[in-house]
Amino acid sequence: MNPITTLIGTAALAAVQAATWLAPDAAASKRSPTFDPVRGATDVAGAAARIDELLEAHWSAQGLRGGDIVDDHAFARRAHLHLAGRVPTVEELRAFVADRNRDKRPELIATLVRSPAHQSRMYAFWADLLRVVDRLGNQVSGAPYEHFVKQALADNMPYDAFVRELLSAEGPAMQRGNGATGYLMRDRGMPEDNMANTMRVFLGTRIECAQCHNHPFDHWTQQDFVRLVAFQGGVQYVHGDARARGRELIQAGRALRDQNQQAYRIFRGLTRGMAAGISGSGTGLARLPKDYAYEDARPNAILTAEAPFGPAPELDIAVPAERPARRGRRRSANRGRNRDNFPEADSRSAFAAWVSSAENDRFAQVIANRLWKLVMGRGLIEPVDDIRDDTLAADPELMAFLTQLVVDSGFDLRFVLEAICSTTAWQREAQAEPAPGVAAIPTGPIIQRMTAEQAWDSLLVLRIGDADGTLTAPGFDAEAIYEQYDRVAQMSVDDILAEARSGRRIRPQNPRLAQRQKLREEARALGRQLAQARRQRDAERTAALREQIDALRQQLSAGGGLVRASELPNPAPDGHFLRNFGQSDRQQIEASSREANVPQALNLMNGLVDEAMAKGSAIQSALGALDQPAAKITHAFEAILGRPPTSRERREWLSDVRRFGDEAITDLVWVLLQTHEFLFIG
Amino acid sequence: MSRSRTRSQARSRASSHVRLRADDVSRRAFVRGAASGLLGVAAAGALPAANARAASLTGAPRRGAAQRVIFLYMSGGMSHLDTLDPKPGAETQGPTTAIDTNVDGIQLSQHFPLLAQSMDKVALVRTLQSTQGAHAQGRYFLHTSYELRGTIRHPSMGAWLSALREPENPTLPGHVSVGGDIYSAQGGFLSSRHYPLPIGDPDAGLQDAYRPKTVSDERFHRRWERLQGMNEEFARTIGTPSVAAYGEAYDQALALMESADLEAFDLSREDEAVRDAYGRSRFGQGCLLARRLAERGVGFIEVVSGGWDTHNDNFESMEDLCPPVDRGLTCLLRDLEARGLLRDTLVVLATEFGRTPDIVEARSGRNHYPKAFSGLLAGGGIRGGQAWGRTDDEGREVLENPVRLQDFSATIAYALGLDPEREHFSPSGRPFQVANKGRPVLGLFA
Repeated sequence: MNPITTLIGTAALAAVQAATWLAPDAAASKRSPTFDPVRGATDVAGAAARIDELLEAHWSAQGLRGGDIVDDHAFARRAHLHLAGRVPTVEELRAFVADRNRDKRPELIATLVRSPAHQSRMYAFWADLLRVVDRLGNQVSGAPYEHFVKQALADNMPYDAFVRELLSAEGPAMQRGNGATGYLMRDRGMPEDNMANTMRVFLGTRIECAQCHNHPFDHWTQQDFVRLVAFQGGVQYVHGDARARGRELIQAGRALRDQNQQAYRIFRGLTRGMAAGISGSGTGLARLPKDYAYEDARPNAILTAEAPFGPAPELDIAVPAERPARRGRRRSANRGRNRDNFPEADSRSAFAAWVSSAENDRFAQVIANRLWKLVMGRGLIEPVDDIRDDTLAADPELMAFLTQLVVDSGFDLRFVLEAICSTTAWQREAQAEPAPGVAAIPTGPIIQRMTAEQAWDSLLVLRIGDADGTLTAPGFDAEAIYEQYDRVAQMSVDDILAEARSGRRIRPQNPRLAQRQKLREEARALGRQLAQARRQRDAERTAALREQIDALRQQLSAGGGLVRASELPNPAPDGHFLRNFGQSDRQQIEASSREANVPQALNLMNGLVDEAMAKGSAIQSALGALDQPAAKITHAFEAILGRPPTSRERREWLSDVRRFGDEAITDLVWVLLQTHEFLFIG
Repeated sequence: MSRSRTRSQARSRASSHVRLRADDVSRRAFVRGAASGLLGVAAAGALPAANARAASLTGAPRRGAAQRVIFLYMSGGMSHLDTLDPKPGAETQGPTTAIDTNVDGIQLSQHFPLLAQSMDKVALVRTLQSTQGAHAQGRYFLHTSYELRGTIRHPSMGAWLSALREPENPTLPGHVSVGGDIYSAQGGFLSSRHYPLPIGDPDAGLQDAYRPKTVSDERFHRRWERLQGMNEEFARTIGTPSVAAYGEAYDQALALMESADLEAFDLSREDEAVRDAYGRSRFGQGCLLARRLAERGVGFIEVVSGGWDTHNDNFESMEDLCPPVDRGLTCLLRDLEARGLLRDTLVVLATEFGRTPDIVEARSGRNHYPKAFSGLLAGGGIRGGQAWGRTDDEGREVLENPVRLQDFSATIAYALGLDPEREHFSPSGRPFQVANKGRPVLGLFA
């Protein structure tokens, strides 16, 4: 029996409930609003009013006044870009401007945050933070992880439950409902890095320095760090069921490889990712490094899990006695912690509960601050992920209110975002980014360059019109993986071998998925031929094969890749528009960028606009359907910049149309798409 | 339009000479050598004619001899034991073996057979040290010599060079990054003009650099005029640095479109045999692109090789990771030398940290190790054929001549004639040095 007693409170129970809640059937039926106020603000309008009150007080103390309220055009553009992740269509824009309803602004916000487009926009935010990738490892698909994140957004899953799931998920990574295991799988074999990432993303705390030494500026010690890592102690990146037959499968595979290459490839396809997953509920123990250099403990000593701040997790773990070191076994020393076989102690769910607790101030504060920054352009605390004990928010009272709002709403992030965007402050004129070190909160949202995703999705609106129509239900890509997992998990090793030898490839039930898989297999086969052609230095064949592969890839990305950014590969491939415009490579946390560079300018000037916006694009058809030059000019301005032209602009372009005919309208589209005004959100 | 256009035209006239000062004999010799497969593994070390000639060209380098830098960045943390600092016989070595080079007493790992035959051109630095053990921080520290902070962004050496030195060729960007993600080299607080121009895939070159044929000169200028009008209006109302940066990016893009040297980015203009010689890997072709840019006067070219974060399957991974680097780097050195460019082009190979001498047996991997690791320098006044510094028998500790990353950067600055001690001020008025007070390693120079 396990001699270690483990006490877990109600929070861990909630984690278990969250896990059930996430089961596919339950998830669909529980799509009801989750806002259940406990105390404080009770509704969006009330919360927005309180934020405005606090901001007004802040500005007046600083001798500032709020900026002017922007007109309907500017507001609609701002709201669509921030909340739907794209510019409004001309129809959406005109309908909003024509609406005589007094409350149309908060109502627009309410509609947008409940739209699928909003999930797509927020997916970009989370994928950047959580480093979502299509491949978690050589053999392991990232699709279930992506599914988990998208499903949570679709269901507006409470944020605390979302984080508990990520931190404590166990089981096969390829099995339906287990996508949250992707969070640990993402840092497979690197529990220390994973812990540093967790502290940074969810608790805004930079502790990674303490991975190797005591933090030079903050108070973190290397021991603090190891005690944190101990919560995830003993985690294995193979799920429990797989361990039993893993060895058998490996041996069967090896034997097959030597006999029958073709069958071996099918075998590998069938067993791909089958073993991947997370097992171990956490031992609550970890060792100091062997080169631990401080006097307060001996190198390689075993430490128990301990949280560095906030209410202590309820966990009672004793340090086991060390077995005496055996002599002459240096090699085993190299195995490090893998050698230890400490008993399980459920420390992972205790940790998840500690991180996501309402009592842990930093948890709610960090996400409140990140959401504020997302739509306001600057956090009340900057940087958002290096919070220290003495960190002071630009307005502590406002920060406290937003933090409480997160907690009181039941960690309903959609509600919090809706409240912030429903303020009068968010309707004020955009402000320039303040110089570093300026403490005052700007008197309106900060002007920001569109994110890569916002720019791509906005151009998509102009290119195809109904950009949101390209969004698919969460988990579409993962379906084929779940299907195969369920099927193969029930087969014996002999069955698998028999199927591999039969040479048949079983395709998914869904015809679209089956087609995709067929194309992928073709691409892989061509890839092997390409490698061979390269080895043989057959330049002609290499080039021909490359072209074929490119064509296949094009087919693989649905509709020639003209889909919203959230539907494209994670991350988009090198050289893609999204990457040029700063989409994260998903290697580092928040590695996305909004910096200008020359290729962007070249792409907009020479690549995209003349080609993509020419014949067949939504904007060209719309312009072509209009007779009057003045109407065309107005339409182009509204479609691209979200506003009608000024009278001077109208005059100038009308004169161009008189001189150059329709060519001038193409020039107009070109020019508007190059403007700073297009690329920046005011 | 008219303003920036005139400016760029003047520039391209001024630099139309370009820096193609390769002497034709040796260049032809190189191409011939490449064509007959002389850079293949079997015949490594051939090209005797070119070598002999190059030796005489190397002349007497002096400090500040380097005009430009080609910086080969091994992203992810390159294992020193399995590449430039093998420890044959040590338990920490694992299955990797060591081979002799053309310099007595210096060995490399088995994965660098080509470089081994050009060891005389190269100075190994085997005692690099970093204070940073995580990727983002380590990469930042390697490039800027400063630790990653929330309050300021420091410029990388490429950005410093672009800002402090008159460009050799004003129509091309002074700072280019090939094959990596675009943030590995930072521009920091300097103007976005000094940020690297990112080239994702060297084969594809610089995308969209040419105006569509349907758009005449006159029409393009009309468009540009209108655009300038709208942008100036916008920048007047909202004059933020990020808006200004877009203005600059467009000006630079225009200068580039009109540059006589635009073809530098087009590898298809290169002899097929030369392209083969560099290896048809992304890294190899990146090295070739770097040479094309260097000979046309681009000051700082970074070429990235990714995938060195070998926590898993370290030894198998080396078989994939090393050959393209061995081939690309060695070919680059020989080609530069044949063209007479190695004298004043500094070639650097570096990484953010090394990997643990201890092998994690369960996954046959090595973890991050900033305490002692390796890089190399060649050309630009560096004395080849030496191994600077020494680590212990297991590659764990530095025994002599430690080189902190800021010292390594200071050495690059010194080679370029940038004063590592001079203070430069950020827009917020804080003083910084190009290598954060690092001290150049003078012993590396000839």
